[in-house]
Formats: sequence, structure tokens, C-alpha cells
Amino acid sequence: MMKKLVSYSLAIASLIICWHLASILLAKPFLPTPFAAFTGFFGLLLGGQLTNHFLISLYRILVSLLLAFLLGVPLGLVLGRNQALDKFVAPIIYVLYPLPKVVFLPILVVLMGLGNLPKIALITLIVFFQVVVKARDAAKAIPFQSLQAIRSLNPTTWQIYYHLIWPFCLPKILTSLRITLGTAIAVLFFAETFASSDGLGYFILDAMERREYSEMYAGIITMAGLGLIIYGVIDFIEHRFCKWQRI
Amino acid sequence: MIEINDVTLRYKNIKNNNLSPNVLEDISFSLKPRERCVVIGPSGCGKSSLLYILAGLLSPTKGSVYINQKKVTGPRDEVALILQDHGLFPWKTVYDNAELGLLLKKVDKETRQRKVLELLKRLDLIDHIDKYPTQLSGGQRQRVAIARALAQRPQILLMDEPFSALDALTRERLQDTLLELWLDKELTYILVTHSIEEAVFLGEKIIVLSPQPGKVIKIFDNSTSGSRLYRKTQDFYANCNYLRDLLEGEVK
Ligand SMILES: Nc1ncnc2c1ncn2[C@@H]1O[C@H](COP(=O)(O)OP(=O)(O)O)[C@@H](O)[C@H]1O
Ligand SMILES: [Mg+2]
Repeated sequence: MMKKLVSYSLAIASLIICWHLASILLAKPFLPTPFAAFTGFFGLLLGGQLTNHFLISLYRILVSLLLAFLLGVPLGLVLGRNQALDKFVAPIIYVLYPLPKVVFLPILVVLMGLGNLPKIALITLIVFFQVVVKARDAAKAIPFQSLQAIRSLNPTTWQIYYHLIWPFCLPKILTSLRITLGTAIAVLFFAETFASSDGLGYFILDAMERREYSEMYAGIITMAGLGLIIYGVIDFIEHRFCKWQRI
Repeated sequence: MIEINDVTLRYKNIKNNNLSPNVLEDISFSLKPRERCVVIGPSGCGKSSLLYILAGLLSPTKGSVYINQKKVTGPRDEVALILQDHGLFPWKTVYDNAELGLLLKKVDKETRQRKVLELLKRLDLIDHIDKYPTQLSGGQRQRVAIARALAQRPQILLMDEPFSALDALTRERLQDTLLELWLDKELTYILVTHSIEEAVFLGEKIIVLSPQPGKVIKIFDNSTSGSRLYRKTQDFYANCNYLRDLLEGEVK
């Protein structure tokens, strides 16, 4: 724990030093020093102007991840264990999987308006496909011996899922969530800059257009914090439910 | 109690439905209650497949298996299986692994706890109940697998090379443990192995299989075995040599 703390502090410190040097060398208003940026950040944080945007973005991304997980995991696991079904569904997934779903944003906006719904729908869609594919591949890779072990105990299908397939696949699914998180936040940012009036994406773009660079950086720092928080949530889930992975 | 009649097995290729050549061919033998049976044969002769058939996890292409006069069509409560790689789940603790069979049968919590703790005590695992399988030695893992199988109070214990990954001393200790358990739990067991010493030490009936396809080449009556001391007797050496010659004759 202590070691982790030290290495994270070192990483953050070196990033800040690089940033500081770059800002001094460049000497332009759009790259303030870290000190100025963080001063602005804490000012806005205490002033409360950021809170709403942050909470809205956090809400959108958490709901999207949760939805994608709840919809994608069961489907993926069943596909992985059911060849007949997979034969039928796999082609559909393979056609849709590589499609850049961001292009659907305008359609979603037209359909669902400017609120939370189109943003959540878009992120959910993107993460959903990742989760389905990962869960399916993980479920396919279950060792034959493990299956025989539980089958010899005469289980119901549900018991096989609960005691073998789910715990075997969960760590792999969480890893894929972690990897997709970057994309999810990027898409959140994009969706919030497109016909939107709240969220961190909106806040950052708005500040940029008003040439309020310290506000803009405050938004960027908050966005980074958002990513860290969700990483933390996934880590927590893994710590809680996959203890056996850490020994 | 167990009757195996003319069991022949060919695997079906799931892609094109083609049948493999015979993996097992016309296997027949029968066991009485409390008999100690060992199946020995070279790697690939179909030993694991035979156990899967007995456990009801695989249907033979031809022939049938009867246990207690009932035809085997699926897994049964009175039969427990221990797999080649112990088959423990790495995400479950020793206790949870040992409890799994009873849990799946929806046995109530107190009964589960009583049966499982008793066995874990008996198998010297009581200090390790909260550990995960990766934190155990090979011998301990195998004992957890035994606990899981015996917790269901089976009449018949099927074991697929349960001790083959262990060092010699641990292996002999576990063989002794198995004999003790056999004595006081009224078990019938079928153990599969490729080790000649193990077969002679543990088997009162030794079924010798030929290499692919697995056919019974000898049913060897080894009724003087069954005590710990047998390992040191002349009989033991003589029977090992006999079995070795038999197997070598087949390989040639
Ligand atoms: N699921 C399977 N599909 C097709 N062939 C198999 C399958 N499992 C085992 N075999 C083949 O059957 C033979 C016997 O395998 P196995 O029962 O594992 O032997 P053993 O346990 O004696 O080493 C081998 O030739 C193996 O390749
Ligand atoms: Mg085998």
C-alpha cells in the first residue's frame, strides 16, 4: 500500500514538473503553469461552479458502465457457453463491433433530445460491445477439467454459471472495462461538447471559447479526476470480488 | 454393485460429426461393494474417458454401465469424482471448495459445516480453511479434493491419477490416507493411474489396459494388498515386476 502511494506520488510529481517546464518554455496563455492551473481549479471547486458539471458527467459515465455491464455480461457468458446461439449471434456482433458507434450520436440526439439519454445510450453502446465480446471469449476459455469437476456434482445450469463461469470470467471482464474506460471518457467528452449545456465536456469547451484558460484547465483536471475515480471503483470491485487474484 | 458391459467409446468430432477410432474397446468388468479397483494403462489409452463414463459425464458409444442395478445416464449422488488436476476452483477457499458438492445439493448450512469441518480435520486441513488453492502444497490441494468428494458421503469414489503430480513421499502418505478412509468410510473406489507401484499398493483388483485402443488385457487379483505394510513385502515387489512385464509386453 505504502509502496503504491510512493510510486503514484512520484509519477504525478514528474508529470507536474514536465508540465511546469513546458509552460515556462512556451510562455503562452493557453498553457499556464501547474500552480496557476491548480489555483484556478481549487478556486472553482470551492466556488462550486464545477460541482454540477462534474456530478452530471460522473452520473452519465457510471450509469453507462453499469448498463453496459448488466446487459453485456449475461449475453456474453451465455453466448460463450451456447454454441448454437453463438453461431447465430456472432455474425451480428462481428458486423457491429468494429463500427465506430460515435457516428450515431446525431441520430441519438435527434431521437432522444439533448439531455442525459443520448449520451448514456452512446457510451453504453460502445462499452456493451466490448463487454459482450470479452465475456464471451472468457466463457469459451473455461478449462474442460473445471467443467467436468462441477458437472460431476450434478449441478443445475444456473449453479454452473454462478459457481464456475461467472467467477472465472469476472476478472477478465473487469480488465476489459478498464481498457474501455479511456474510450468511454473520450466519447463522453465528445458527446458533451455536441449540442449540450452541461457536463465537463461542455464546461471545458465553453471555457476555451471564452479564452478562460485557467477555467479550461480546471475542467481538464476534473476530467482526469473523473477517470481516476472510476478506475478506483473498478479496482474496488475487483478487490472485493476477486480476492483470489491477488495472491 | 458396478457392472461395466462391453463398453466401447468413439469420440464424436463436433465440427463434422465424424467418429474417432475406438478409444475404449469392449471393456467389461464388475466390482463388488467395498472393492478396491485400480485401472492401469499407458498414457492415452482412455483411462480418463473410462472414468467420465462411470461418472455419467460421457455416454459410451456401445455398451452400458450399471451402478446399484441402475443404468448410468448422468452424474449420481452416490458417485464422486476426483479429477486429474484436482478440479478445485481457485476463487474458492479450502472450506468453500470442500463444501461445494453439499452446497449444490442445497444441504442446510449446519449440516454442511458439520460434515465439511469433520473431514477437513480428518485430512489435516483445519488450519488452512481460509486459504485459496494456490496457497497450498500439491498434497494439500489433493486432500481438499478428497474432502470435497467425500463430503457427499458417496458409496463410490472415482479418482483420475490423483497423486501423479506429487513427490514420492507425499504420494505414499496420501495412498496411506486413502486406505484409511476406505477402511472406515465403507467406500468402493476405482483409481486410475499409470504408476505400477501405486496400482499394486492400492488395487485389490487391477484392470490392465492396452495402449490405444484401451482393451482389458488382464484383470489381476491382488487380494493380499490393503495394508500400509504391504509396500515393504516380497509380494509387493513380485507383483510390481509381474505387472511391469505385462505392460512392457504390450508396449513392444
Ligand atoms: N474430447 C475428446 N475428443 C476427441 N478425442 C479425445 C477427447 N478426449 C480424449 N480423446 C482421445 O482419447 C484418447 C484417450 O484419452 P484419455 O481418456 O484422456 O486417456 P488417458 O487418460 O489414459 O491418458 C486419446 O487418444 C485422446 O486423444
Ligand atoms: Mg488421463
